[in-house]
Formats: sequence, structure tokens, C-alpha cells
Amino acid sequence: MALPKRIIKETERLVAEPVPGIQAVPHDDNLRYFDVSIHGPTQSPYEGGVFKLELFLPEDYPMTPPKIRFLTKIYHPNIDRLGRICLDVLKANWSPALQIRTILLSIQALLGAPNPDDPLANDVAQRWKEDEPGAIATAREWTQTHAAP
Amino acid sequence: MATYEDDHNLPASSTSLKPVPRRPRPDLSNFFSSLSLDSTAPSASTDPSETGAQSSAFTSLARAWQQSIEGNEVLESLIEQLIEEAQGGTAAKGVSQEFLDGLERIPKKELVEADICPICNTSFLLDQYPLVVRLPCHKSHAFDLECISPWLKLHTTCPLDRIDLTKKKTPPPPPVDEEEEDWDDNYG
Repeated sequence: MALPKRIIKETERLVAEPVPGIQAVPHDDNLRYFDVSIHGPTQSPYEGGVFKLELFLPEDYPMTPPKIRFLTKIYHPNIDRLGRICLDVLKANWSPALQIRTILLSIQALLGAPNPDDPLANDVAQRWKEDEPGAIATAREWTQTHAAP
Repeated sequence: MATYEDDHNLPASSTSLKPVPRRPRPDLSNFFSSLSLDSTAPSASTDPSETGAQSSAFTSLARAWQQSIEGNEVLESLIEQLIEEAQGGTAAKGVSQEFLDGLERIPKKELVEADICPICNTSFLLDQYPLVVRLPCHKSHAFDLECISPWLKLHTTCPLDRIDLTKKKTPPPPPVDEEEEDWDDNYG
């Protein structure tokens, strides 16, 4: 099946002008499947970590959003233990004017600004609200244990 | 009117009646023939050749199971797709064909090389006969008609500012995201 021009252009640009701290490499045998790595933002509990994600462009992309999941374990109120991400632009607020790079930037921003009021991982979110320093310490520990580059 | 599949270089009918590749059905004939071998051999429980026959029978059973599990994956994806389609049918629909037809057209002479469609990210002028429309929300919100049509058939919002283009007439309820309520609280 021919790959839509848009996907080819997006991929070319991702390789030619990569977003700082973000890598997205398509699989040779499936150009809709990307191995992604995102560096934890500085001044966040994820600083120093490199997080692996998988990204898949469904057949009707860009009319439907890419499917993205963290593969690296991460302690974050909006990411559950299966790596699923609670982010509006990946669901109801998706728009075909968004792109792989804008979505990955949103995810990087989510690491820098956890939102415990819109949780996917309830227990993490609860801890984040009740004991923020403790939760941040755990997030930092997990980063060192699971996301060491 | 080009279909969505045309617009995206997809094979026809890929979204409706997706032909699922047919997997070979698990073949149990080998297994049963080796079983009958076993039952016709009386007092052969110590016979090493019988053990061999049994083990090969179990191997073929295992292979058959493997095949049927692969078949289930196909079945699962089919079920998933049907559910998605069923839900899509009840979700808020997009704009009418009249709305699409009534969108303001931008003549080619008003376009410059730098104007790109935000959906396909390609300059409008790469097309010798560009068919470009402007959404009513903002004068700079221009799209290839063939790019914006599939979106607006399913949604009523502008991809750039999410303004509901039908709001003046009948405001549809905001999309409710129910997925988040089904999250798994065994986390951690």
C-alpha cells in the first residue's frame, strides 16, 4: 500500500530537522511504526532519563491520532503502568493539523508539567497531590532505575 | 466526489469491508491419525515407538493451537474494528455535504507558493488545478478541499483553532471522552 505523501514528508523532516531531545525512527519494514525516545526535560524529575516509546500511525492518519505508548517504566500521574498516556490531543482534541513532532513535543511538555487533576494513574496522581515531594522523589528514582541512558 | 480512500491513496473499501487474510484452519488430521495409532496398539504403554508417536501427536496439536491462536488475533482485530465502526456510527457526525459545497473557494491567482495545506503539508500550487477552500472561522484557514472533506465529514471543528463551524445553527454536545474512566487502578 502506498504511504501517504504526508507521512513521507513528516518522516523526512523528523530525520532532517530533529526536535531537540526527541528521536523518532521508522521501522524499515513498517514505515508507520516508529521507535521514539524522549529525553526527560531539565528541571523535571525525569531529567537525565531517556524514555522509549512506540508510535504507530493508523491507516486513517491524519484523520485519527497516532497511537503512542511509553515502553520505559515511568512514574507520572498521566501515564499508567501500561505506558498509556492521558493527553487531550491524543484523543478528543486531536486535529489533522497536528503532526508527529507536535505530539511528541506535547508529551515532552507533559513530562515537565504533570497534571494530577486529570489522572490516568490514580494512585500516582493521589500521591502527587498529597505528598508532592515524595512523589517527585519516586519519579526521580524510577528515572534512574528504568530510564538511564 | 473523491472518496476518503482516494484522497489518501488507500485501497478502496479499506475502511468498510476490510478483507481479513484467511489463515489456514488448524489441521487436526495428523493428530487424530497418530492417536488412532495409539489406541490400536494394545499394551504398548512401554513401547518407546509409541511414546514417539504420542509426542509427535502432541507436537502437531501444539502447532494446531498456535495456528488457531493466530486466527484469534485476526478475529480480535476484526471485532475491534467492528466495535469502532459501530461507535463511530452513533458519534456526532460532521457537517453536511451542502456545508462542504458551500465553503468559500480560493481562486488560484490568490495563492502563493508558500501557502500550504495544514493537513497534507504541501503547497497548494503543487497541484496544477488546486481546489482550495477557506473555513468561515478565519480568513487564513485554507485547506485543500480533498484534505478537509474527510475531516469535516466526521467532525465539525476547524483543525487549526477547533472552532465549531456549525455552532450558529445547532451546537452539538462536546465530545465526551469516556475512555479515561475505564483506567486500571492496579497501577504500581
